[in-house]
Amino acid sequence: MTLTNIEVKEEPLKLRQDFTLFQNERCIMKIFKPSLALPIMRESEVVGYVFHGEGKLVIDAVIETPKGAIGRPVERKIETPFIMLAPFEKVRKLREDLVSANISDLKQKGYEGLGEFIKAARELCSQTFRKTCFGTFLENRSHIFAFKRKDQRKIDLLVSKDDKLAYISGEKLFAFKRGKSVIIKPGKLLIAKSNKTLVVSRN
Amino acid sequence: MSDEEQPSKDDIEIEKLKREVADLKEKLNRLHEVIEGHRRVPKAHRIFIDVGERIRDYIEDVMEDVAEGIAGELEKSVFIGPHGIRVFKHRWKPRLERGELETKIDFSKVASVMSALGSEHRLKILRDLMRGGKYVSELQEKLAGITASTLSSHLDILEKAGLVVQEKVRGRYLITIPGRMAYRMARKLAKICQEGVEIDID
Repeated sequence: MTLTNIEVKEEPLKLRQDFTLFQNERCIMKIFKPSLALPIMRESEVVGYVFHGEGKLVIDAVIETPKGAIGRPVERKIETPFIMLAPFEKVRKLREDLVSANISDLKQKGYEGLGEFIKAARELCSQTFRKTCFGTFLENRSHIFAFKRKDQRKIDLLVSKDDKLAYISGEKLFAFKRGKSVIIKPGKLLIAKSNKTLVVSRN
Repeated sequence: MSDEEQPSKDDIEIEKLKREVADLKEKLNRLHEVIEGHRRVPKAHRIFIDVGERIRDYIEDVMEDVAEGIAGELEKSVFIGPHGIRVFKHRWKPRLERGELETKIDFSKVASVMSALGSEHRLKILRDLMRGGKYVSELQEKLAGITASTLSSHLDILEKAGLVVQEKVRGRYLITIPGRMAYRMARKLAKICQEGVEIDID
């Protein structure tokens, strides 16, 4: 089920204080003030926001094995527009920290006017939702983040619910669930479950 | 009509069974065709994952990549040809000459690792981490008398040398695979140096 009924509401907002968008034992996603935001609507309900400001994503893509730890933490500074779809409670809580943005706020982020911001947000939404099915995730009350890294064509995708997490970035895939981890990198596949680890490597 | 021309009950029964067998054969053939048709479609294409085209494409790419990697490894020792499967023994490789070996060593990296091991505190940190990941506070407790800033600087040196890694969300420090190897090597070297190498001259 693709999200064809997604709409970006023409209501510019800005964050009045730093906010932790998502956190579990493996991952933390933060956004800092005064980031801009536009609500994402689905059937007249706000299901998320398109942000533009300073965001930070940290994922502990490290697996502890009996032979030693494998992997490295991933840290991403997000300075381009990004999408967050989240459960209703999170969206409502976040709304309390969002106030109306004016033209000077938009100009600070390099937009000439609201139209330009909305266009950028719609483009990102269209690119993200055109092919990908998020309906099931939304109904399962998951967090979804989609963003483009600088000079990257592909969209990075983070999907998480409770202690489960999947992150796709370019050619890499990290998936974690309590006690179980999968890391796929070009030429390398790593699967860990409790104390058992399987590494398939080209080298 | 005479009795000879009329088919007996047995003949009718046999004809009926023959037709049933023919029907079953046809059904079986159709099933085979269906199965063969499915076999021709790669398994990955038949899996439906409800996470979207992009992820599905990505997983397919990754699986192809992994399959290529495995195939590449297999090709080194196994040849599958028209005459069956042949297994080749690994080719003999000449040992590197001393000079050649020395040019291949990155001495700055070696020095960085050895320097990271050149501290009693850092060796103790590695020893403690060998028993599992630890928070800074836990390490500080174990290394009685060490200040937080000194401990942090030791951990930085170990991290830069790639012997430990810090989880950024939880903040725990973990020993890496090279870290474990380096600690074991240092312990072994110390033991050899302590005991010395005895030469029997008699």
